[in-house]
Amino acid sequence: MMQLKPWYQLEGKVFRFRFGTENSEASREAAQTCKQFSPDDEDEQIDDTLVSCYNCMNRRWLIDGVECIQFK
Amino acid sequence: MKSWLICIDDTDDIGTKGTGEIAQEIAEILSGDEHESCSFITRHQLYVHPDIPYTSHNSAMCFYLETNKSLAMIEQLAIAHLLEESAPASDPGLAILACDSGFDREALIHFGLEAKGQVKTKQDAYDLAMRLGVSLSEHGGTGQGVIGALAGIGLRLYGQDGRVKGQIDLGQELYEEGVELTVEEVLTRSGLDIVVDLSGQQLKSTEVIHLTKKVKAVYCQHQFALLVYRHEGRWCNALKRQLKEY
Repeated sequence: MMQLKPWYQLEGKVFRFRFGTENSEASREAAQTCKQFSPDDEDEQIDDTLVSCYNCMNRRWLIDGVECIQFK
Repeated sequence: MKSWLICIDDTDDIGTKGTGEIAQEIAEILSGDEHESCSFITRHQLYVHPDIPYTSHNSAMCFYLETNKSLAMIEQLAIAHLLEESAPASDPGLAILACDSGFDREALIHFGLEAKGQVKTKQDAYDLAMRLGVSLSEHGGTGQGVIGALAGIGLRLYGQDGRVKGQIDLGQELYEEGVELTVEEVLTRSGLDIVVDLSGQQLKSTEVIHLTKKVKAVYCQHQFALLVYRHEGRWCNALKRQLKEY
């Protein structure tokens, strides 16, 4: 979890991505540092670059963002 | 031969076989006999909200089927496969609509569109299915998947929603620089219906498309479409972020 601190913040029980749902660059940077990255089904990927939090099976979409659920 | 729309939702969990893959398997089982056929599968994004117990993305998978099988046989085969393949922690739902049943199309579309932006309940789904004669059933867990299954059928009927499951292989990934094909060639080789730009304008059959990397299709104007955009003076297949709108 510590390695993702620059990109995520803990809000109650939600480990939320700080950069919203449209920042592919930050999403890729975060995933590059994460040892737990694992791609979701191709049909669920929304970033053209594979290694991206937006494409990870451990991300969960929220109304206004995305959270990482690997630490739950 | 009768026509049906079939949709499933909430069959998977983190790290298990995806709902799209299960839908594909059901489609193949149901269209295995001579003269039977099924369409591409469409993925429909539904509402994500704390009150909805989705795993990570909340999407339903829908396909069109032409078959001689009875409703009872379709139900039996689809349910058996759902029970076999759904994740233990999932809440699968199955919706089956007979396309010739004279149903209230607008009511189904309305339900589908509402399910993209608000929380619907199982009771909402069952009440509508009962009223319209849609076969709706749950197969494990909380059965919450019936909401998405019914909504997915409504969104498919809407004709302007959903990405096509899987990728379109036109040989573009064999070459670093991709391939160039006319619209006519793309449609003939892929089985898609139209090529449209980001504004929904259809391209002429002689237009040339530059195809690279992953090529995905969408469902728009009630047809399976390759979405393209203008880049450096030529037409290119849409990027994932452009497909996200569907």
